[in-house]
Amino acid sequence: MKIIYSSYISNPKNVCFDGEDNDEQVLLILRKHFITNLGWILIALFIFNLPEFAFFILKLNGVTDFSFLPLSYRFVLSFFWVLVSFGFFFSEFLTWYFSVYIVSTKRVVDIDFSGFMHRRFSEALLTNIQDLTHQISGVSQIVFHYGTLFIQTAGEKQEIEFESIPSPAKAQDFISDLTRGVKKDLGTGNFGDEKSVEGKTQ
Amino acid sequence: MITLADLFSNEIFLLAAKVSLLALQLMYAVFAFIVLRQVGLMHRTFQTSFGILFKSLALIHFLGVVFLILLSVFLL
Repeated sequence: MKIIYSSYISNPKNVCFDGEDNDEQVLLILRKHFITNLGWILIALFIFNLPEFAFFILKLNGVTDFSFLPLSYRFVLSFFWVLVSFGFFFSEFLTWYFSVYIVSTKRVVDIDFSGFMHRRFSEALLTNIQDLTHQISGVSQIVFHYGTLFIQTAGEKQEIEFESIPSPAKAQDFISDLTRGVKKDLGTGNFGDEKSVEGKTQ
Repeated sequence: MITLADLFSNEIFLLAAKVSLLALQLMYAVFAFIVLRQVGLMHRTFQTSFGILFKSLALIHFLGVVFLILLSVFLL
């Protein structure tokens, strides 16, 4: 049940993604902080209540009797408006729900469904992660404790961004530990030590 | 002065209102169909236990619009 509203889910159950290997396991799922939905939730509430506002304005202009509108039109318009309101709410919620950042035992994945008619799927192997940086800026991010995690990789796509995720420092620490462990297992690991930092800045 | 009551008793105005409403509903039906297809794509990309629920809601939403169009054709 937690998966429907939470933005930080550790060890999720019954979850898999496109291209997941059989020996791979999802360890962490992140989404944009729920507070980032406030804008469209307010718009959805406004759209749902728009007929009430319209009637209120008509009443202010002296129109108090709506019997001129045939009953069939009233029914069809009301039904249509409920569908439009639901459609807006549903599409915005789905965009938020399915736009996820996944950390698995092998890679990090960024699935982005911005604008509802657009899909972007980016991934980077844990062994390709070179640097992690998080940023919290602005009043809203400080108050609700969310921010952006930048994942620098050695792959073709240089950077993956986990935007507006809750507790970015915690997520950074988790991915950092995981990456270090994977690199150690492969015998290539010096992730996060001074040498790798110096090598990058020079 | 023409009142709203006069407008809605005019046959031509009612026909124009019906055609406009049907055109809006047809456009919305296209959107509802895109939502239905997109939910399928979303569910294939990231599968959770709520995927079936979302697909069902998208289907009900689309069927609701189709029902409304049929209702408008016969009722208005």
